Amino acid sequence: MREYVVRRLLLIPLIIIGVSFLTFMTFRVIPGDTTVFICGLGCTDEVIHDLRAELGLDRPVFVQYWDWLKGVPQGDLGRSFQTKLPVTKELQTRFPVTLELLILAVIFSLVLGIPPGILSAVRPGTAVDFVVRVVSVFWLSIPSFYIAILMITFGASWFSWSPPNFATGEVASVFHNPLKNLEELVPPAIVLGVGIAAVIMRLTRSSMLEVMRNDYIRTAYSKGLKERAVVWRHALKNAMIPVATIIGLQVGGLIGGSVLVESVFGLNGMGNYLVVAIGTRDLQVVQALVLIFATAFVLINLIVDLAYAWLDPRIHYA
Amino acid sequence: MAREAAIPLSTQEVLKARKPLWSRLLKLARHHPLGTAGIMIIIVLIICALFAEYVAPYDPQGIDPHALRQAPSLSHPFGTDRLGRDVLSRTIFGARISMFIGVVAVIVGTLVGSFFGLVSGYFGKWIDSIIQRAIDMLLAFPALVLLLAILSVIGSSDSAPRKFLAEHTPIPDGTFLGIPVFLQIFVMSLGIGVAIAVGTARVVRGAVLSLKENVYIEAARAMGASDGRIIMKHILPNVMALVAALATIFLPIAILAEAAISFLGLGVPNPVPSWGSDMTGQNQSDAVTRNIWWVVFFPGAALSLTVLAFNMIGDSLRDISDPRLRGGRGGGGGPNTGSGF
Amino acid sequence: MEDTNYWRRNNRRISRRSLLGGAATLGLGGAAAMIVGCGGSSNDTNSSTGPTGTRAPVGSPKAGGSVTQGRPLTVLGIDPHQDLTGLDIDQLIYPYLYSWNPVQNVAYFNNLAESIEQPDPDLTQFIFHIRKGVKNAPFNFAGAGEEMTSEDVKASFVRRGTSISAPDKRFPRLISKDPTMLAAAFQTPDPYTFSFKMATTFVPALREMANPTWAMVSKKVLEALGNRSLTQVGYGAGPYMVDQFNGNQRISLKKNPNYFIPGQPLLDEIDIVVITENSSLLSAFKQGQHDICGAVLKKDEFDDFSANSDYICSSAPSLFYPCVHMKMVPPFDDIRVREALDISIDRDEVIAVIDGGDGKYNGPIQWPQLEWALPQDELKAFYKYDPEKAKQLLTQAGYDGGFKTKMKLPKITGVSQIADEAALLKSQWAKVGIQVDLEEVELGTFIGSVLLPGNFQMTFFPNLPYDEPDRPLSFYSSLGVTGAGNWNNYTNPDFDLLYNKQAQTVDKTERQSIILEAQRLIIKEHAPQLTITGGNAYSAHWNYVHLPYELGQDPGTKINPYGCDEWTEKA
Repeated sequence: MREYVVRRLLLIPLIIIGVSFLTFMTFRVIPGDTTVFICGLGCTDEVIHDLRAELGLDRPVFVQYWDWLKGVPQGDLGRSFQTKLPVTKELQTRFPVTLELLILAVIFSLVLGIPPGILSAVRPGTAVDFVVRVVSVFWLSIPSFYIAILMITFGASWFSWSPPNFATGEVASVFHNPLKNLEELVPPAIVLGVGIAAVIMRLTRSSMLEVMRNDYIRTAYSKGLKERAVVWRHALKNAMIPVATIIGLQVGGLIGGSVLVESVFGLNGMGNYLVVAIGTRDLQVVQALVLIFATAFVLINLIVDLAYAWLDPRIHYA
Repeated sequence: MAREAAIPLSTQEVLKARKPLWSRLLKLARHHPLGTAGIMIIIVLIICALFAEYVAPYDPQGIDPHALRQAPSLSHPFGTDRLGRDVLSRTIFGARISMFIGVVAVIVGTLVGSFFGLVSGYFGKWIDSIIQRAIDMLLAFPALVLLLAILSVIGSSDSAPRKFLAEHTPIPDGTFLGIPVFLQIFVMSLGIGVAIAVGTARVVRGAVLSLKENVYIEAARAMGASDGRIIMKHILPNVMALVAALATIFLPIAILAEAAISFLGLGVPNPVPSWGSDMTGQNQSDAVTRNIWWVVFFPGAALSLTVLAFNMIGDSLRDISDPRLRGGRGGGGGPNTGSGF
Repeated sequence: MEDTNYWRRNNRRISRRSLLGGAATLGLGGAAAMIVGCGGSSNDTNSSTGPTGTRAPVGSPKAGGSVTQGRPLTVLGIDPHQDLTGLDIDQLIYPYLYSWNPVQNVAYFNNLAESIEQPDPDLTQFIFHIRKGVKNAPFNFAGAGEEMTSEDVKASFVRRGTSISAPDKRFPRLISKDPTMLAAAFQTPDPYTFSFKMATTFVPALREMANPTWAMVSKKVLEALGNRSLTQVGYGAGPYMVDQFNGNQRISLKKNPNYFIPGQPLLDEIDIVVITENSSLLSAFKQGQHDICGAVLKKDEFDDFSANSDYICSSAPSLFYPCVHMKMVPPFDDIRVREALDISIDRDEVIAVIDGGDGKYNGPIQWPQLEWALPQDELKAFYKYDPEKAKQLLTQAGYDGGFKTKMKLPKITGVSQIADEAALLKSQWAKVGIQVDLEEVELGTFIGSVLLPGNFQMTFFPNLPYDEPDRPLSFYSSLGVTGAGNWNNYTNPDFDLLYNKQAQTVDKTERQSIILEAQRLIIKEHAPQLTITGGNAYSAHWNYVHLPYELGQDPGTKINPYGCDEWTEKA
């Protein structure tokens, strides 16, 4: 086990370096000259030449990559072409927003997904089961951004509710003003969590069904244990193993979903920033964000793998 | 996109019964009403996509200055938008764009992905290592982020690949097959296709690896069959079913992906009708601030219905393959697992 | 972009009101400004029409408090000489020589210069007398708290005059043909006198120097900066100083305690919040989180606000004018084709659909510039919608039944007008058989790969709005607005002659007649920049905020520099 963890950890810098190389090369080589995006209409060949020299774009691309890579461990991801601020500074306020949004979304998806899933598995074939199944298929099929739009549109006309609009340009800090923070982040987190909740609901149900069919459950029942005890003490833990995995697998989807949901709700998080940066062709920022998302994703997948082993002692990684 | 495909299932078991085809189908439909409904929806969708000109009551880009922002009525069942364009017609034409992008992306993605998967799995060694490490890298990106990265690089009209296509291939720049700005939309589908290819390659490689262990492959090799012959005769036919299953899983994901990036304003451009881009920008603003809900409600409903139909079909297929677990067995959950849209 | 200009103009004349108007128009203007890359100073509102909204209740101005306003466009930078998207903010941070009243078309000397002398009858020489006691804010940089002198003005003129990102380089070139010799062309006989002489008369010069890009920055600041720019920092002697700057989220300004006018500015703080989603901006304003509405308002939204006495609303004709550009290549080098395109545009329908029913025809100079634009009656007669004649013209030109072409347009997030108007034009042209494919291109790509290299057959984008007639006409001249050629490849020597002549004609009546003649010349040619219509810009703010004048009002010539007289009843 330890060996496996060490090997996985060693692999991570390699993957990250590969990813950074891939992003760097793609963004530098393919889309043409970024300088024209910077200098606007005043631009002549001369200006472009000077600007390229100033930005160091006239050097060989591998030298540029090495320079950029050297900065990454020191937290230097380059500067935005647009605002000329260091990307890391731009991320200071945005990173916590996305992080909190994702955490809240996972919490909501568990709360909304697991209990109905268990209920439906314990009472298969009943009306409860049917409702849960239908609801989960619907939730699964409605894209998160559509739910968000409907929430805002009909929220406004039916309940005079509108999402907090971040009129100050930022999300309230969870430490200084937790209530306001929740008011701002809960609606997008619910929207984001619903789709995942449907997946979790279905998986919980099928995994519970499978577990409940096991001999040891029958034994537990025949010992005269109450259903509650059987479900809680014996079935649930084993049924949760695949659920834990699926949550890990959903993180990639969650990150993608956060891009969409942040955009609808106008949240100044990393996802929204990615969209804005692509729209303004601020490739320096896009490159940095893509790297961060990929790194986070790789790390989370590692953690999930490890958690999986911890949850199920039968699994040994060799 | 799905990282690993939960592979459905042959329906052969069920079809074994020796009754006439129609009666077997009928029985199947009776036992799986949801799946049947899903298929009906998809058929309607395909009809809309193919015959939009005849189905749609108005020109989707036709502006009517006398019918701005009208609520749904008999003459405009889905209402009109801020320029008096008929929302129903736009939704119908949106099906064409969605289906086109979905189908092209899936074809390109599964073909390219299968090729790399086959080569990687069959030849192994250093080829396998290179391809697999490349796939590891690509799988390190969350799907939508990967897609956005691809599109931010090739989506712009002066990107190298796009210029190449415009100058060296006969792909038309303007309207073609009833699709405006064809090249741009085609490039988008290629972008989505790349993302699909990554997932496909991994799955196909796995399948090829296990096929390779079969005795009959050994036998063929011993008899002196060439690699080409083994691949064509023995491996490819066995992988085909898997690829077809993957394609059906990826199709709704591709449609969702198109809608999502168009929704973000990075996909299908104005004023081309597309479900995703019709839900964003000024339409979204109109919906929220003026309560013109119909301009976003119907395109979104069409999109959701499409995905729902695919999910219902998927569920039914799972039921058929494993009747013990009605309502969906694990892993996959549905086509948009892991897609995050 | 345009709005920026517009707003800028507003600022000047509207000052704080312009904040509001500026913000409102900013969406459109900003986008336009980016496209054209220029910083005009323009207030787009124009002039002669008064505000239609309710008047602010008059109270006695009270010092203190803060005002928050929304902004739909990201501020990419606040270097007044280099960045074009933060010109409204530059005006709050830096002093200018003087201010411009766009309604009366006069300069007024309420700022760094106390007065101007133009001894030559041809108005080529400018002598400015600099005010004593204008001191830099107590910022944390070289030159803090020091007095501005003629040397600082000179350094600023040199920096602005040689800025590579300035779109309009014509004026500094008249001072010195060789940009490297520009510094030698300015005289500073004493610390409070600054003068220079142009090679030839250039009437728009006076307007130009009041443009927000001509901010005065202390020489010490510029020397200490070296090669760096002011894009993320503000070291000025204007009424406010930068407290916090994050161009895509929030810009906070606080009062400059060293400001040269005692007791000014009235506000302690101005917060500018960037929200790029129009509906969010609108709801932030409605919920009272923003005191001044930053959303781009449409006519019906404006009417809603006007009906509520909690708000003070105003409107003014907008100088924002997207127009159809064509390259002078077949089929567009045939005047019959251009005429067919021009008269198959149903401008009344454009006004109904795009301008909310509230707009007018635009000639080469936008209608709000009443003194310079062609009369509406003449334009209406000239641009009469005539699809039948258009079809005949096409047939005569050898395009029986029309032709196919592609029109590129910039994609500007949050501003739907350009795309909507293009869609409408497409449908109108389809009626005479001209099939136009629209292609939206991201703004950056649009500038870099479409506009600059002239890589288009047809394109639809807003020229930079400006309230001086010289600028809109320059787009048709052989040298274009940048001085490097126009992007249509259009050349008309007769027009160039008139165009150059108007810039050198001091007498206003005479200049007017030249400008009208020049416009008639190019519209008859259906020169390849077809202007369409212009609507109104709308603004709204809560009634506890008081601006020295509302959008569209004449600010007079007595008010303090932009940003000073604004006050709020809220503590």
